Amino acid sequence: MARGVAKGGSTPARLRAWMIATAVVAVLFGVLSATGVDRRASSLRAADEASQQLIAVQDVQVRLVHADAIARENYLRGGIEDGAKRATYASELAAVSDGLVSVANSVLPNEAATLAGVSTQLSRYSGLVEQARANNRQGFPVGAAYLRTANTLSTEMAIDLQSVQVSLRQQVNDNLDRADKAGAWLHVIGWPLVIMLVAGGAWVAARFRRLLNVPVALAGLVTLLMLVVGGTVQASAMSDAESATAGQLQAADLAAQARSASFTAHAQEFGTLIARGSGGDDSAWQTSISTSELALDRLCSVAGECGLKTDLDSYTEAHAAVRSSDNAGDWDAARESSLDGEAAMTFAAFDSASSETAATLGEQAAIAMSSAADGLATLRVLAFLAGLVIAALVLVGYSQRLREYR
Amino acid sequence: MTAHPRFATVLLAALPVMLIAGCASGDRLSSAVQGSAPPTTAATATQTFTCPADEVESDGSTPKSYEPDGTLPAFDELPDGSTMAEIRDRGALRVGVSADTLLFGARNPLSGEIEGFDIDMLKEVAKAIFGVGDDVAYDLLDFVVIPYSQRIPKLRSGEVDIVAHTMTINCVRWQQIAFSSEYYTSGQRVLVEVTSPYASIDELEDAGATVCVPEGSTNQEKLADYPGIKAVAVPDISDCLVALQAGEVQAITGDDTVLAGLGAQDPSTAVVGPSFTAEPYGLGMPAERVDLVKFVNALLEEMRTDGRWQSIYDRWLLGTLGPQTPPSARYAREEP
Repeated sequence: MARGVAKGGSTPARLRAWMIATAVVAVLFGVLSATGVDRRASSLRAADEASQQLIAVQDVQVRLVHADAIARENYLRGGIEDGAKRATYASELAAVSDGLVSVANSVLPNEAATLAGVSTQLSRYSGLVEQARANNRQGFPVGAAYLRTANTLSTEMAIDLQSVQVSLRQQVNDNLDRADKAGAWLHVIGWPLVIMLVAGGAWVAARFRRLLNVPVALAGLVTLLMLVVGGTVQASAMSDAESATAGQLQAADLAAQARSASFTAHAQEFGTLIARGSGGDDSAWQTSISTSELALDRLCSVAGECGLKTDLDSYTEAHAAVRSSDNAGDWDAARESSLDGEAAMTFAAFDSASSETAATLGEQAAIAMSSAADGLATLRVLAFLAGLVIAALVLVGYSQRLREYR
Repeated sequence: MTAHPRFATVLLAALPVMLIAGCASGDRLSSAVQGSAPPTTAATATQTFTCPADEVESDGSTPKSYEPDGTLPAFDELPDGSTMAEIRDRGALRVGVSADTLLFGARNPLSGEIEGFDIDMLKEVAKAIFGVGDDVAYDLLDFVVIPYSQRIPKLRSGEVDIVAHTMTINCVRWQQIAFSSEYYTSGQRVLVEVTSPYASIDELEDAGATVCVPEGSTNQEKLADYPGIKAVAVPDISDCLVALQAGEVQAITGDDTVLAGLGAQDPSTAVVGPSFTAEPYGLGMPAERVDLVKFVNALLEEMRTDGRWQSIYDRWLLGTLGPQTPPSARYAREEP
């Protein structure tokens, strides 16, 4: 007892110091956990925004290459254009213009500058197409040169848009990585707190011959509950976001890539027919269609959307017939198939089906990505309150023992 | 006391579970897919051709072609195994042409047909090989539209039988392909906007002007004689008109016949200055097809004398270039 008294002189001080340290760590647990949850939520929201921007930029690119394909198609028709096609060309170009402005307002400065450059090029592009059209209607072959220049510009714009997409994909992934790391905060401080509570409880129990200090034990339970619930909710949000990224968003991305590459190939088909008989060099078309096929193969494995590949295969077969006719000298048959025959019909079928699929996948991706962070706002508040409650229980629990020294 | 270790044990056991619950599976967005065209045959090394001293005409005149073996044979009397018989039996003459050189080879956007002086020359070749009339000859032509820079490669690869594409006969080209006798005489001049202060190639050089020229053409080679000029080479001469109209160049240089075609598409331009070269046009054929060259030369002889050449010229060029008579042929080239 003499030893106990001798040491008892320092016990209240040590208990008080331990109580304060534990309470501070508990408050830190609440603040840092809430901050970690907040960071995960904001990173997931940023990933969601980047994914929506990606889908929007892809839509701009698809519409641009679609417009370019129509411009070439109408040129190939000669002076007598298809009115409906021309209206579609105009509406697609207007949508590209609006889309560029809309997306430029929400992306980072570097991407915004690139999109602004594309907007400038778009004006020049439409001017070149109009000059090609005007010359074509007068029978002036310089129209073909204007169309070639317009297509070169369209290709450059598509490359710029692709560079923005590369950046946006990286932003999606970077934000997911940040969200991933932010989730560790809960555990980094939570488990040391548990150890402090257990160690403190054990020390007090041994010192004061009490089996259990109820408030401290409750503090431990609340901490564990927070770790389990918080960890589960956070992991669920992360899992949802990653699942949406690798699932719906990836599928929407691939569908857009397939459509963009297919329209590029379609424009190249018209281009080789405009440069009548020189389609022997079909490598540009083959490269584009190969890109589309790769995208559709992956779409099939990612989302089970395998029908589009069959539609594209039908067009590919029809295109082979177009080239075969042209290479054999029957340009008229090739032109007929490309404009109004088998090639035109099979491509229209692919366009229609892929348009519907891409729209559906885009909507699903937007919903899935935006809902991933649901629940984290509540968790953030709970984490902060839990820290305060744990600190209060620690103060109450250890104060009971301190009173025994008075 | 015994409860404490148990409690700690449970916590320690739960720790990995908690940590795992917070870890991510690592699914991320993949980069864009990129397809590729099937591999083609490896590109051959670039070969440089020079004109042997004994090939240079001492008077600077057009290199000679192969002299015809008598008169033009009828389509059903073409020698067995000859290039002409092979083409006849194939049922199509594969021709390399321009589709945007107005007056010589340009696609009519309303009819879809390629038409012009060069095309009519090819129709005459088809009529002679297939023994058909003017109305059918066009359908027997397999058109391969090629830029200037592809005229010789397409012949050397055998993709076309004959090229009619405002192609100048010269010694260096004779090292790679064969030419018919001269079927048209042109000259290199310049096209400027009517408001341009420059009226000749010399004035453009003095001013250090930017001049557009078709890539791979003799026009481009000749422009090297004017080092003060900044040359801009483009794949096709139509691209030069686009560049001129966009204000990217101050003039275009090319054969006067081709420039006349460009001028016909833009009334605010004019062909100015004297010709500073003589450009003898020939129909290009593969070097080894000597029999086809002789056959075409025999045909051209007939056309010079029976009025067909004049008729074709008058149809396409009389209005813009004024009266002209067919150029005379130079033969006695030795067979390889």
